[in-house]
Amino acid sequence: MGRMPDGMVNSRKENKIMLEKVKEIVAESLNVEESTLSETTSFKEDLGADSLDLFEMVMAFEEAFEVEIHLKT
Amino acid sequence: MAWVAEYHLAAAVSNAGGLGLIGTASAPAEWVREQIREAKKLTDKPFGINIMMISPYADEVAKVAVEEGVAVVTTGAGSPEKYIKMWKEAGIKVIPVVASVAMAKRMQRCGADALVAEGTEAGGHIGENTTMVLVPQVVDAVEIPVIAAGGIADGRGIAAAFMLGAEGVQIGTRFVVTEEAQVHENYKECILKARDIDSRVTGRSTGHPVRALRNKMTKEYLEKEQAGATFEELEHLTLGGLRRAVVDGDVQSGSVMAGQIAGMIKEKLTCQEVIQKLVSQTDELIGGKGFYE
Repeated sequence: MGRMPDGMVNSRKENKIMLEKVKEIVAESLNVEESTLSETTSFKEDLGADSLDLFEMVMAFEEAFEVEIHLKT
Repeated sequence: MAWVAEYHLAAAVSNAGGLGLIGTASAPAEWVREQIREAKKLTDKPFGINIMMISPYADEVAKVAVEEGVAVVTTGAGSPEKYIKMWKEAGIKVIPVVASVAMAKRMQRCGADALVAEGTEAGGHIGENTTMVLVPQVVDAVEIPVIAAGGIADGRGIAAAFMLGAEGVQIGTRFVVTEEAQVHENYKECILKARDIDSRVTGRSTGHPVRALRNKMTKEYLEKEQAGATFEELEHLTLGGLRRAVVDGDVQSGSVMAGQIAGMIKEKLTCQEVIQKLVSQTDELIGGKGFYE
């Protein structure tokens, strides 16, 4: 489900915690079961997310991880 | 409005007291530069350009806005956030078009001066939510002014938009049927003849829904889409379709983009007449009630 922002180096344990949080946010945003999500789940192909869904999720990630994610378009 | 909103129309709208916009769509930067310069010959009032974020020329066109000194930039088809700083430093007012509350909040955070909340009633590329539900929710979510768009062509629509919390309106289809719009007569005729039920949305399956008046092309498209055609097969039907309809007048196989409100539009007017009518109708309904000066 996308790469980590450049410059962030985490321990394996921190990565696992982050992935769980990401799955929680995605599941809530798109109203899907958390158990169906994995690191390789595609937003568009597997989950049918559109560009507006992406906005929602990016803002939720920003809030949860206290980072700013810059979008290209 | 790609192909429709060029400098003649934009200048006429601005001269009549509106804010004219040049729709740059996928046009290259030099075309846009030319349009801006020509518009400035016809009007000294402020006008703007609309930039489509998915245009391959978006970067260059964004710079042309600064170089040629337009007053306003509106944006569609994606987030303009990487350009906002540059535009604001040049004194340009930035007004992204949004189709959701989350996008609205994000654009405000990125420094937008105002937003256009455009409902699915609009013509061309559309979002899912109606103007009726989108506008008030966006208004609740942000502090910057919200301009309502989609389904507005008379004073009632404008008054309704103000009731929903908007402080301005953006109008497309009504301005296509004007003297000044450089659009083939066949296209204008289609809008004049259109009834309330005559618009169709193609491309829902491709993730790029587009509203246009029904014709031979939309019929074929929808049948194929229903039968599970590929993206390429479907794209073949619409590629260059808007240009064919607007420029060549091919309103059977071309794409006659228009909003649901096309059914309400029954006469061709000048931009001046349109704006005067809209203003006086709105004044009659909500003038002097504190919604605007």
